[in-house]
Amino acid sequence: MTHSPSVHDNTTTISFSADRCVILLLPVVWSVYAYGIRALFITLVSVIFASAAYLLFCLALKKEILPHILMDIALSAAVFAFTLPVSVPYYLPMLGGVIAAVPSLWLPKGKKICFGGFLSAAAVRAFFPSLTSRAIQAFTYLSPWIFAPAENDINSLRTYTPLQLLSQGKVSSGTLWDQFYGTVSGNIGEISFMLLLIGCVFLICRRKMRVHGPAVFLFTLCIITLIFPAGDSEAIFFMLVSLLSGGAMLACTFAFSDTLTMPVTDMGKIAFAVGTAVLTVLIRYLGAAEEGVYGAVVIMNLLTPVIDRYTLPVAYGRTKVKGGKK
Amino acid sequence: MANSFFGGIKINKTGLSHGKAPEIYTPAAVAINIAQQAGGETVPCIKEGDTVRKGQVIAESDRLAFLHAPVSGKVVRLLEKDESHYIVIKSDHTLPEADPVPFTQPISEITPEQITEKIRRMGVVGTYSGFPTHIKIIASRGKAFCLVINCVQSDPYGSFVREIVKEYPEKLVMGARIIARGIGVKQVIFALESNERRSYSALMRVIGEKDPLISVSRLTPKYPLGEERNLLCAVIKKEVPAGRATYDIGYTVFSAETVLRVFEACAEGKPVTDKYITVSGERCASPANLIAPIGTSLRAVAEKCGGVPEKAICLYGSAVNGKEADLENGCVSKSTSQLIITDIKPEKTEECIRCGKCILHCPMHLAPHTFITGDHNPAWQKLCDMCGCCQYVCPSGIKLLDIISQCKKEAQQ
Repeated sequence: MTHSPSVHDNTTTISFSADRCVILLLPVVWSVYAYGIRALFITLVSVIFASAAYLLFCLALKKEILPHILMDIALSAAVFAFTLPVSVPYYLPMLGGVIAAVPSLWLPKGKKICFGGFLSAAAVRAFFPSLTSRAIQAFTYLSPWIFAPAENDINSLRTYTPLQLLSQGKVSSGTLWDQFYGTVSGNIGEISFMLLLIGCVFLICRRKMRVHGPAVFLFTLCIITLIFPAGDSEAIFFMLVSLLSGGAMLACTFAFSDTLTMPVTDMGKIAFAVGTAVLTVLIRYLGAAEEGVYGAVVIMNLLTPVIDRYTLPVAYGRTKVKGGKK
Repeated sequence: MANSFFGGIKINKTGLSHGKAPEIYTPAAVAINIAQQAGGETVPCIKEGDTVRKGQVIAESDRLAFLHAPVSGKVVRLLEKDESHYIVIKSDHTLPEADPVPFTQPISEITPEQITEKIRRMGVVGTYSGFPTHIKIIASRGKAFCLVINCVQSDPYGSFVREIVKEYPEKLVMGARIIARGIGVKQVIFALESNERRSYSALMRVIGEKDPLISVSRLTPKYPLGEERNLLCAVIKKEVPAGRATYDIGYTVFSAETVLRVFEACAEGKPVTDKYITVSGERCASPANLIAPIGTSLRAVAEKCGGVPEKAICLYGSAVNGKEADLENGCVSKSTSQLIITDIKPEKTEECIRCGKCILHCPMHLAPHTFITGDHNPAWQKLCDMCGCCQYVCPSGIKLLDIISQCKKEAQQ
């Protein structure tokens, strides 16, 4: 005599992960076009090592292999690879992928804080910046076991990304449309604003993400950079550059679609988005430019349980009702 | 045209038994539970071996509604089973029905007290809640100024309410006038789903062009619109304050079938002896709307519509939140509404992925996922009316209704 569900709307947890994996393909294809096949290899190395880490973990501890968690781990590894420049040596995505998989291994057992998905990728990226940069340096001087960068690169590896320029108080020379389409230098998955935006819209249309988070995040980011510009250009131009460049859109697409680490309510998502935007700008202005958005996401994720607690919906019937006789 | 309420779910299975006129079903024997109303037991006033006529009073109470013999026949025994008492009657078609005792004077000359007493003696109780109708009318008196008639069939598998509205618009309007007189309200609103065009035109034809008393409100079809508080939310855009009844804000809600019963009791003098039931579902061989006597065994009703095949389940109540029917012992009561015969879904439950869908669909604005970890607000247990929307949308397939009922049980202890 139980209430087991006999009718159901047939969404599954896998469909959430699968939809996010689908939108991953767009930036992957674009990065191959922009940087050559090496970009794909970097992503694949990260994904394969992360998945292998999870499978080994499950086999070692005799746990059940859950497909949607495997997908999530592959996803966070891929997103981690997206935040790297194409020129990094292969051990970096390997290492990063495995580290990104680690938090997901202790996946939620009714805990309040859960890791997984974008958060782990962002955490790796935000907390090991020195690792990343040292690796890049190592590569530029001596590169014993790395493929030479493909020849059809759109940009030379030595050029600064728009955000690196921004941290020096300059604005990149490329046009805004270049940044929108993704024909500028940058990290593998971050360069094309447009493709990530398409992915974002796809997720929203498939009801796998609420529109509130991304919309408020981008809007707040625009407002803050418009009011407090830091470049040597017009405020509106600066605003668009900070919006289009760096991981803002990547974080927007993958962080806000990561249900495990987001606040659950719409109000919570809005609070999260505002906080992330503010922190992003702060970190960009005060610290390392590139890691801004990832650091912001990680900090806000630590606040998720708090946000959850204060943004629970007001239950039915708490509103004052006028009229009627008592 | 956004006459709707927050949350809820849309299920596109518009009635497998849709458009089927109710058919009368007569079983060989009935077993009437004497405690089928909310609020207590009635006392049998017949003995074993007595011969009863259909419509004759078989159990009385000084406070609750009476029970009547659903069929003519012989009282076989007074049965005691699982702490409930049943009156078992073997039907005999040769015996005549009891004589109806309607009001003879027009409505305007009947006093409200006479109406409630009549309703009580004719055994009218709420269609879904089993709450005695006369008590509700008396409680609403002086507080409610508007009567809302719930003509909504929010469950995707059900359809008998639609058939009632289509079939008997005159009786419904008359019944509404009688209840309106009983309570003393100034306004009557018929709440109807917006896709029910035929019912709407049928009702409008009866009401006429401009009636100062009666109006029709058309609402967006959605589950669980039929629930009192959601219906009010959709019709008047007001929420009932926590812990209060609907008449505290001036509105009172009666279901279409109850109104029909009130009409039959007052104008035709017919007591409540049977119940409209929808039998439906994917695995149901011949879905139908039945008029079954009170006390018909649930197994007989299911058998009538093709029975329950293997690997199927028979649900009592709505498809979304219904429990498995007790086919062995269960009998039709005055608050039985549906039997759904459907597939058993694989019971695979995963961890909560915090997608937040349950929050978006909860009509009571709760956060159902908090029940899983147990850090829910205790006040929420009272608000939840187990509509099952959260469970319907949950991608992890978590049995939220089981968890919530468990929480409720623990809170009561």
